[in-house]
Amino acid sequence: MDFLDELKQSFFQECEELLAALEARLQALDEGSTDPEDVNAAFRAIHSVKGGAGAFGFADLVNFAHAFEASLDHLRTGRVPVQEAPTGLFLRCSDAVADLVAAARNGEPANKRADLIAELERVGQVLETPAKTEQKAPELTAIFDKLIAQVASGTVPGAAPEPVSAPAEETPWNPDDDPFENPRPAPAVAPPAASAAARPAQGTVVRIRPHRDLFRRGIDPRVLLRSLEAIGPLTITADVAAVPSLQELDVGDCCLQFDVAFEGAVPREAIANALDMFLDAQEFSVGGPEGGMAPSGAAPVGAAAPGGAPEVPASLAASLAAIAASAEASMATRNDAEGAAAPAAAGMPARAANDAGQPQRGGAPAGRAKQVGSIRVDLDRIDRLMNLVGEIVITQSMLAERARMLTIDEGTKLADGILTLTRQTRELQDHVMAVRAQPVKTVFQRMPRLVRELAQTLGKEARLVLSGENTEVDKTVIEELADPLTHMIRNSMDHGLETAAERTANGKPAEGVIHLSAEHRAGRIVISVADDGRGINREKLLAKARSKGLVAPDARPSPQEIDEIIFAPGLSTADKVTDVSGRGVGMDVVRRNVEALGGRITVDSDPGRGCRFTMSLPLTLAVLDGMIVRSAGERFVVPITSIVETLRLSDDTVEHLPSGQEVLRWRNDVVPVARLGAIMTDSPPSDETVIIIAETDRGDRIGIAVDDILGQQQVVVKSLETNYGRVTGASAATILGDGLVALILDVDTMPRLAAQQRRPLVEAMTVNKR
Amino acid sequence: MKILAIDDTKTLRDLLCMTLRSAGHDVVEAENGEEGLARFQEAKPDVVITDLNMPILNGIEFTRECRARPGGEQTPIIILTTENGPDAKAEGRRAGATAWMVKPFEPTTLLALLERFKN
Repeated sequence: MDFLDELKQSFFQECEELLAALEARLQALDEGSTDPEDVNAAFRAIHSVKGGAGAFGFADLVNFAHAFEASLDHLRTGRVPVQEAPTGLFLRCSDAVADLVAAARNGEPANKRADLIAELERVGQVLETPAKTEQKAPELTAIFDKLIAQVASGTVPGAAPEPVSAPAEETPWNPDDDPFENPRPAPAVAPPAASAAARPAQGTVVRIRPHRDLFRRGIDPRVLLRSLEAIGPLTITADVAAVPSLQELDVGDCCLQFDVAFEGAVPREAIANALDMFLDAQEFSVGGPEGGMAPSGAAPVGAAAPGGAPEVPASLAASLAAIAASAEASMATRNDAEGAAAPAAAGMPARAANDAGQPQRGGAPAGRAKQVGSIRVDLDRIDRLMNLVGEIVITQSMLAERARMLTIDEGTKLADGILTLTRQTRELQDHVMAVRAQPVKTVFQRMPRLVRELAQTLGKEARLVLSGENTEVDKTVIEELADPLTHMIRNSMDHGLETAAERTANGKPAEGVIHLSAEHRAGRIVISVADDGRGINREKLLAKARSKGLVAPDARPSPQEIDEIIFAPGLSTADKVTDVSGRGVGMDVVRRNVEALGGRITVDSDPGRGCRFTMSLPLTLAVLDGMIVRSAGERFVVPITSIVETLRLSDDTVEHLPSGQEVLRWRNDVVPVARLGAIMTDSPPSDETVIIIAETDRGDRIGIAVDDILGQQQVVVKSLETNYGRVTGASAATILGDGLVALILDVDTMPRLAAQQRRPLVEAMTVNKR
Repeated sequence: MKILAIDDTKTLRDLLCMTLRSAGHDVVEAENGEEGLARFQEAKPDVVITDLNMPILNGIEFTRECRARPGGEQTPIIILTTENGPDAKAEGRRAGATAWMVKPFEPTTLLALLERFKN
């Protein structure tokens, strides 16, 4: 590869990141964000794409990006209000940019998308003359506007330092004046505040910029303001600039913003403590002088607490300590101080060095942390590192084993060293894992486009809701996620969601919702795709399965078992082959992909109401914490993450069901018992006396009966499939300290195996691939 | 105020309930999110305090469910947990949690917070 090619490749790689950022920002705007940073970031992203494309002479891409950028610029300059942004068009355009980039990458001729360019060019013009759309209830609109105007005109000059960007639409607002408020004792005025009231700009200023979902989280802004009021005397101004017109106002949205000016300087911690529990760090910022810094002397934390709240008054010593501590912390925010901080900051240049060391908590725009430098590393190198860590884990458990054979005196000395080594190995491993970890966002981000396109192809209305996209998981897992996810979403769009007409007829909203979520659970990542469509048609599915010979004619499978047929190979229930999912690849492929990753996929269907596919995958494919147990003379590893409790079995707690299944009474619950020896080896059921209560991914509990617990240690996961063959009941194998192999139990299969209580290991032994 | 306290660990739940009752609050208990939802429907509490990690339905799932139910849209839900990571918090707020408090909690802080929810 010559130098130019290499540069091009790195441009395309960068494009992927830029496009992801672009789409995320546009998505945010589409969901109602009015954060100017969303607009700016989207603009910057497309601008960078344009710049790079120009350098390599991708003319089509440059043209399109230029039109797109110009259109976004209208939002940036405010010619088009952010609330009125044609986000749908923008999203389609970001898809088009992705296509153009792909075309450039593959050297294919591109569709120049003149249609979209034309639409983009209309953006500024159409919206430049804002259409008067007050057809509905004009008198109401007028009242609303008047109200807003009244609030806005109540500005008291100098009540708070005025930001350059926001017009003077601020008015004092005091929770105590609120007519809806029950009478409460008036806040006590702190002594030093008397003079401060005359020049409130001397005090600490807190800017509260809540997300729109504030009300939906059950937060009454008064609760926030009262929390601040407990710190010291203050003036509150409500900023109504972001309140849209009545027609656009969603009463569920919080469009209010608040500026809180303390009369004196108060410590940042006190403010952070009061607001942290309610708000994100981005939702508020602290400016102005803080406690201990103000020339007029700070308002002590405790002394200013109002009588209403049952706060314990802080002692003088505690106040002093708080002030001293805050003097340190306040330095970190000097650059985001809103103008008034200058006199305080100028006196202490020597402390500037502290800035770098202090964590940023306020997150005011001007105070954004510097970009952390990063490098691209070949994944290969990290893989090698990871393997090596795995080997060290084995060596370390081997050392521990050897140490046990020494005399007590020598052994103790060695044990100390091994303990340290264990800790360090674990740390090393965590760090290597962290390098490899990536948020699932990288994959999730591709899905909204898929849904948009499928909705168009299929003529359905659908919305994709993402959650948990910041959940981190190993890079190798991420890469393998894209295919199964795409399939699952296709499946939901094609088979799950009904057409708008059908939905309306069934009393559902015309727009179907697909919820894609990720979360960490018991050391695994659980990803689910849930739709609110028609669910699985069990009759049809069963009939199909029977006709294909997948189910015996006389079999009477349970609803759950019928649903699981969807994963059977060679099955398609769509009435006709469609563009979307009739490609001969079904959910069986998804299942195979997921299982290859050591994962599992399940389906829960609620006929008429929707269907949820849940896949659970290991966070990493390399190392896990295990409990080593012995049963029938063999050693097994039970993953610690699935263990709930261990207990000793007594005869009176075990009962036999008519089916012969043993169950255990445990904490007002009945738990099936799996005799490990009988399940995993061909030995007859014995009286194992130690019970490990474990939890499966579905949340079922199972009591695994073993002879003894030998210990707990990290084990390196070695695939059974690649080295040996599939063993029922085991998800993988590992090498223990003495060099012998032990099976890692697949807890999720235990309930089923306990019910069968067969001898699967013997069957598996015949599949020796080696 | 009537408060619904959800925690699967009995000791911690008892401790929480004791704190709340000693301040004169009316307390309804639940052992997990699912039971919490049932209690929520019957008791219509003014405030909910829930643990995060619980079997069956955890605190986040509870919050999400609660917000989706009539009567649950506005009720303050405080998540009381040992977790303090930004991701967990972000998830909590997305689910609709009102406030996030870290265990072990200071009784006076918790009571002061509840006081602010009073109308």
